[in-house]
Amino acid sequence: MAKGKSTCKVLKEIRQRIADANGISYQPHECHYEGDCPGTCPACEQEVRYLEKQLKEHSRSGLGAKVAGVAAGVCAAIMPLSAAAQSADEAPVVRGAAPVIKKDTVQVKDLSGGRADSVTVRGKVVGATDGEPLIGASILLEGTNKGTITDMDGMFAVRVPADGSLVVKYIGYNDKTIKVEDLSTSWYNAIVLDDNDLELQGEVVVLGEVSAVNGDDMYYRQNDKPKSHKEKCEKQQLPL
Amino acid sequence: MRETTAPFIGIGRHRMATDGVGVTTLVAFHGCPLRCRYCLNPQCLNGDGVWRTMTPGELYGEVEMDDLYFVATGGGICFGGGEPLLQTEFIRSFSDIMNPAWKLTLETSLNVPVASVQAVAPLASEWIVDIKDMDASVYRLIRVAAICLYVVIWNGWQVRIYRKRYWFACL
Repeated sequence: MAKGKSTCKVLKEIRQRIADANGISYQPHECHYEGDCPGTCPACEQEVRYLEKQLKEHSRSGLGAKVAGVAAGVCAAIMPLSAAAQSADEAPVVRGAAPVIKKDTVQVKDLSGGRADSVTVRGKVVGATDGEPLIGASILLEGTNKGTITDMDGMFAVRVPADGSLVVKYIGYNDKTIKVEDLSTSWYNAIVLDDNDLELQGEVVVLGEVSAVNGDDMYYRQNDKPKSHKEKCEKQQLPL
Repeated sequence: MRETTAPFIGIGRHRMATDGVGVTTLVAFHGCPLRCRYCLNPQCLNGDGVWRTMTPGELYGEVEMDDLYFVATGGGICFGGGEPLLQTEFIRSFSDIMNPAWKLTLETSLNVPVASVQAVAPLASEWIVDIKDMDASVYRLIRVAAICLYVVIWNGWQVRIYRKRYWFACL
């Protein structure tokens, strides 16, 4: 646990140096998480995405992005290199199925009323336009007044009857009703809410699509992953 | 033409001070010509120890999320395993498509044909070599050679000199 916290601290320092070198306003979140930490989490990953977005804007506006070497030496200063590159006591890289990221960080809210056929589903609610997480979105068990809200990262976890439905609501977005049977119980479900640009006459319930995202993807990215640096630069209009 | 693929036992992100300079991601291949009893990753020797099989493009898609850290700290990708020099074609293909600012580190026992070493030698910024020899005199010889020449590869009694930096470990 201490090593994970130490890694997180170093990565945060690197992000701060990148932000400072480019005049980007950056305030790292204060982590109150207690428990085994791999050194990163959804909140930290969002901060990386934020910096990348800001640097992209800098590049497009002609300001240039200064990243190369801005944090050189940070790792050595905080975690000195040992003479033996690998220690026999060091934990192996991976074991078994080798999950890269630990995902069970959101507390499960029980909405099932103790039913035996209930299942646990997890998800992240994001806006369709920018993919940003929607904080405080309502997750209701359809037909009841039981529910929860998404956390600071747009994530939720609920225990619900397997034959039930969830209603996801957020002001300014169209409501979405999803059958529990259409949700994955193995990994986080990405739930995308469309902007509400219509004048509503009463409540509108929209049956939408839910895409189950590969649980290995910490970013819960909606788009395809780039297959090369060249493809990434072309898609994001960055210099090679 | 079918794209190159390789089997992997896992990927370890955010490694510091163990796999090269800066922040690195360790990419561990499946498969090794040795059977060391003290192996840290014995799943690389089991047939069912394969975590995923990927093309270079798919691997890039998995590791590029830490591009910012790599570039900012002078880090990059460390290929280990297993024995990475059994997958030189994959490593060469990956180096062609990755961000050229990334540094490549190879963690190897060098118990492979010399041609495998030569195939990737120009690509690696750092080598981490595990000397699999319990003979103390062999180890001392290599240490002395490394100190004197600073750039020595020991492979099957052949010595090659490359102007790179090496770390030697004797297990």
